[in-house]
Amino acid sequence: MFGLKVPISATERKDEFDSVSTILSQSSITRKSLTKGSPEWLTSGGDEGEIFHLELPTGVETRLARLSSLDGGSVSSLALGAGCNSEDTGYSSDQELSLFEQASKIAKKRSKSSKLSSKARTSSSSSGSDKLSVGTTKSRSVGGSVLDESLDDGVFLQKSNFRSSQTSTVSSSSTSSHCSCGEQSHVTSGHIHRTRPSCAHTLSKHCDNHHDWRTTELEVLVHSSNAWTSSSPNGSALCEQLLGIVLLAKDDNSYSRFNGSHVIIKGLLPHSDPVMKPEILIGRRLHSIDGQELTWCNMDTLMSSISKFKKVKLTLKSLRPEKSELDLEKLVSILTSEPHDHHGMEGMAAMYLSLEGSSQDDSGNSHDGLVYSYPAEKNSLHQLQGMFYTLAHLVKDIKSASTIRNTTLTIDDQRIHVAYQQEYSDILVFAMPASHVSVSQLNTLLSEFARLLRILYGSIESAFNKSNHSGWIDNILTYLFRQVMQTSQIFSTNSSPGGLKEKVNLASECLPFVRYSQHISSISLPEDLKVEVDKSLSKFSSSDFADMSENFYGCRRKYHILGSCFYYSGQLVSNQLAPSDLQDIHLYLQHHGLLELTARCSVAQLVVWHEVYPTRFCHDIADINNTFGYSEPNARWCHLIVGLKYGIFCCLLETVSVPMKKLSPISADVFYIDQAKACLLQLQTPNLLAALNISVSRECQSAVTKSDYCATYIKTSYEKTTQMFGESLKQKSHSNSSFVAALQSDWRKLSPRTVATGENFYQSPESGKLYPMSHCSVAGSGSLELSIPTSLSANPCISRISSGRNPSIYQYCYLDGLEGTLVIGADVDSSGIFQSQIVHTFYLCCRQIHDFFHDLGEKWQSSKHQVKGGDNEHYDEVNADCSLSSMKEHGVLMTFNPHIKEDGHKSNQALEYWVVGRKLKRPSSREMFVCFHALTSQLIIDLAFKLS
Amino acid sequence: MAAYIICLTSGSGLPVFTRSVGNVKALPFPVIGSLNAVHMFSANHDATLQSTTTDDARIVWREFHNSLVLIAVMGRDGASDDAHMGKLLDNVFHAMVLLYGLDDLVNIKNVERFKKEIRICFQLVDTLIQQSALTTFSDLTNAVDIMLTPDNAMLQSFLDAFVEASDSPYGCLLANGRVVVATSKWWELSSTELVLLSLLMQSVPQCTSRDIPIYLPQASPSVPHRLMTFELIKNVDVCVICGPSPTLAQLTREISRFWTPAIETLKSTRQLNLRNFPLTLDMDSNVMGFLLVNTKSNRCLSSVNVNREREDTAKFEKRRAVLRSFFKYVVGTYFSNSSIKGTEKGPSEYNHQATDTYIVCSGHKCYAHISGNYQIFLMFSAKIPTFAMRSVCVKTLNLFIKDKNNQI
Repeated sequence: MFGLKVPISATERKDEFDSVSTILSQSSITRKSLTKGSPEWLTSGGDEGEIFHLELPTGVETRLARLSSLDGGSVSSLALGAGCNSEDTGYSSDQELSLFEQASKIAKKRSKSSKLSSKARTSSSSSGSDKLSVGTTKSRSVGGSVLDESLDDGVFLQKSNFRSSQTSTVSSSSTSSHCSCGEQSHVTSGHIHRTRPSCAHTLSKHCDNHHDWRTTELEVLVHSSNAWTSSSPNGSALCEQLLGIVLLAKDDNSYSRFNGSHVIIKGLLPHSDPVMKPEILIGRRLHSIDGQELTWCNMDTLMSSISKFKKVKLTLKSLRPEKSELDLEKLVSILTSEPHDHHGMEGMAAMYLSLEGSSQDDSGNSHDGLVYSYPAEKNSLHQLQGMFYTLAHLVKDIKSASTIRNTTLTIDDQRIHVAYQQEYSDILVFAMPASHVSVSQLNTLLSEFARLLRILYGSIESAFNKSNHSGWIDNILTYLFRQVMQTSQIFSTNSSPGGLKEKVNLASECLPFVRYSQHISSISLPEDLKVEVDKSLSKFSSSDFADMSENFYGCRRKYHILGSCFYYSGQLVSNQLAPSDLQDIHLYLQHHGLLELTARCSVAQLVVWHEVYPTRFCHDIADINNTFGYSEPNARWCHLIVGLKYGIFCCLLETVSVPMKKLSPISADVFYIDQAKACLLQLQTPNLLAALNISVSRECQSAVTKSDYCATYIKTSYEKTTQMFGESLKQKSHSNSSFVAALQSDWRKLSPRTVATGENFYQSPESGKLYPMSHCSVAGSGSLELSIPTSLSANPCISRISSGRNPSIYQYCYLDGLEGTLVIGADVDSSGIFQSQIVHTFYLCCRQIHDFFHDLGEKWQSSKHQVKGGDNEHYDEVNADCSLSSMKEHGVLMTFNPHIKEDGHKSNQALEYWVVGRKLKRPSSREMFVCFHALTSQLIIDLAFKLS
Repeated sequence: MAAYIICLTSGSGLPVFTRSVGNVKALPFPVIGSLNAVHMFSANHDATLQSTTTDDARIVWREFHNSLVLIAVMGRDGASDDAHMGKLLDNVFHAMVLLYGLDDLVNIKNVERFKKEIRICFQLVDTLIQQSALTTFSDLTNAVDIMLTPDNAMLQSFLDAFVEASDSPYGCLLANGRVVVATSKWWELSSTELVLLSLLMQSVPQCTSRDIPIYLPQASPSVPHRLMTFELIKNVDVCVICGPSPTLAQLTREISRFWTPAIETLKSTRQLNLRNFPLTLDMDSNVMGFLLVNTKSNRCLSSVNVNREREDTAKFEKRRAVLRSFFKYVVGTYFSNSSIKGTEKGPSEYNHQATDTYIVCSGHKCYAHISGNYQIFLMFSAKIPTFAMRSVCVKTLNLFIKDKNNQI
């Protein structure tokens, strides 16, 4: 693994490995950069050494854009895995992985003596089944699991790793019921230096020859011993027998991924000559034999002709999968739609005001202190910049040491909130209409944005004063502002009085709360998988891990890995970073739309490399170096983020050596990028993906688990999932024709499937795949959905949550069926709409309660003199806090009357439910929110809280 | 809590007065000028500056009749919005109208003279901003504080007789700034007028009788009336609003004739001070204080000495402060109050109506409940189990509203 072409131990001369640069020289990526320029993501680096390289499979982009324009960009409207995977991503696709799973089942059932060739044809994709055959038929050793290194630069696993020497290991792992890719990868990484020495030779030759990376010529022996019979004139069968190369059949499902009439290598037979050649890789195109171009038409004849030779010269070409590269601007534009009218941006602005140097502007045009403004076209708010600046400094005159927070003003009867962030005498101002965000939300947005700027550029000042940053900041702000607008649009339609009958996208219900709660939503995983993920992450970070070990190479590494985390589909799966570092990375991902992107579609490739100024080391340094005898090094730090499909892997690197000159940029280190990619690929094992997909489909909609840097957990009743099914059913019957409805139901459809197929995951009746390739027809899944609600509602659920004392360790809430904490009125039919209202209200209340906790908690901190009063065990009434700042619990009883009689009198059947939030300070600061019916017994309520 | 109220003329920006509470230094002139300037600047750009918050203070601007700008600078409290501070500024302006007349406020001809003359309202303005020192809640709830006595009917007849003699339909009996009884005409005054009149009585120093010219901000903002007050016994006053006649001397003579028979009743009424409701009504021992507001009739009943504890001013003040904070937080967030502008915004966000809410603090618990026109805010000791608060709250509310004799 780790992209090394050469098994290191195989090389005799130890002195080759005395430095990291040797490893680099062996790295396929560097080699590539030596031979044919740098890889694409290297060239996309900026002048400060940063990289932001993103590729999407073709089609996804347009689909996303279309969605954004259709439904106002409601997040998660695109079905996970539905239709995004049809393109080759340069790695094995979801489809392949799922097929691999499928194949593993098949393989278990089948007799061990089944022939590879036949299996390869019957199963739809080669990689999985081939790999399985390695395990089941021990005599065979096929580089089946190999990912095509030639496909662009996604060089993660080399097929040499899976050569014959590995047979026993692999087979032992695969004879156990689950043969996961991850296990194999671990195995591989552990044994990499034991592979065949000849590989090194081949490689060096390969390098010396300066072969074209995409076209390879080589000679292979023709297997003449296998006498072919005239009874099989099939060209591909001949190819198999003569050359040991299994071709991808034309009628194969996955063939459609490759355009035209190309002949694609699907697999290699064990003990054949090609399997010994590292250049022959699955997924490559067999271009010509002995100079004659090979097509499906002339294959039969060509194959018959070569049977006479001992050796033939093969020309292989790599297929360049169609991917579209995106820069940040384009990413933003496809994730969010343009505001429909210019009225949308009215009342919104971001400004950076500084009077320093405003008079001596080089270009001569005085900017009156307005260093930066967004949007570029001025609106009425920009004229008020002087007022903002004055106000910010005025409050200091009234009471020294007070800093300005917010201003509210009215323009054309529209209330606008303004938030300030002050850095020395300069201020950063955000303004947004009150209809879009509340004050506390705006403050959250601004403080997060300011923090992001500090992380990326060291300080707000340096972010804005360098002109080359403004384009980048523009894009971040565009995304931020559009997101706010779209969220509030979804929200306002739901909360409007007429919105009673309107559809409610539950994923978006929780969105505003989740977005502004400063929490990172995370995924719950079964314990064993969690351990596996954690293991991968810690292996990656550990300094003595085989390939990256200092002892091994006898030299110091360039960077320390301070920690890493793994996101899947926009949600945190595992984290081994310090809370503050995680927050830094989260902010980066969030503001660059990467979380939303991976939540909505698959990514072909993502590489981000950026020097950062972590909050923990550079900005919030109160707690640092407090430990006696240890001080944090004076170093520089980098974010390294790689993405593949729905997964994002992030790590924080610290320079080991003496800090480089501050002026010189930290340029991307291909070796580390390579390693990170490999680790990410490891994490995307079928087992894990399947578990993650289930979690994601459940939790996107209920957002039950929230964990954050201060370890806050949010829980909610679970009926909303049940309700969701009802809702989508309703939608189906009413608005079948609507395209939007189809897309939304498409999204919803996933969860019933994944939930339903918990048992028979691989025998999904519809397509036999984890992810359907195409958009399933709405009607097609209707029956499936119908069966789910009953099974779920028969099992009334409450979320059970667990939480840890250490904020860096996230525990998760499982949506186990336990107790119904919310009782629905007798009218079952109407329950759907009321349920959605309850959920809506619940999140509003949570936001309110959370704000209150937060606001007062802050006040509590600031007014130290009050400490005597509230938290003290010996409560003294006279010294009691009268500002409610010691609040621990807050509840709201909501009442609504579903049955308003026609004469306007309310009937007695009002539904009452509590939304209760509790704040715990010990052992760690936590908040919990529960929504329950007013008549729920105290015991159950207490239980619900205790479970946290 | 430090607080400033600044009044300026809106066109010229000349400072009229600055009132402050607490031990704070006076605001320097440039600061006052800047505070007004930012408001003026925004007005020139077709924007209205409403409020600004800092980490510990809140500044609110309001302009009245294009003539005066009032600016309040106060410490931040539980209020999530500036609705309550806006209400305070409204009250300050109406207090100025009450004592100075709207016409003269709108057309200020000579600022220097105006600055001198407006001093008559300082006492009332100071009372308004010294919220914590008040024993009543009317400035906050915009509903006049009342007192329930077992002898309300008897006192009502005494009052009616006296008011008839004074040739005016407007009359009321106040004890410690709370309305004990009032004539039906008196109750027809707007809530702001009712609140300001009873606050005015609290703000002026005690004296046996007085005659104050007043403008009723809503009923007659430009034609003055006479407010005559007579102290019957200590802390108990009777007020009447009259036209040009009768004179103070005439009415003073009538006092003893009408009120001597009621002295004993008045004394027993005065003893209810701080409890404010009859001893016959029993309340849960965990209730430390409550505030009951009728948003329709604009009356409120409050008590911080429910269980006849021995008097401890500091303790009661604390309880009032807690109730005030709780009210400020809840009204505008979950409950709305039609007489306080801006409080409807928060509750309108919810699909469903919030009827109850509670908070648990380390030393006390607070519970709020809404039922029809009634809003009740209770402060409990920490001993009460959280789940019991709702039933105690409903019971307490019913205690007052089920009895037809109690007019709240």
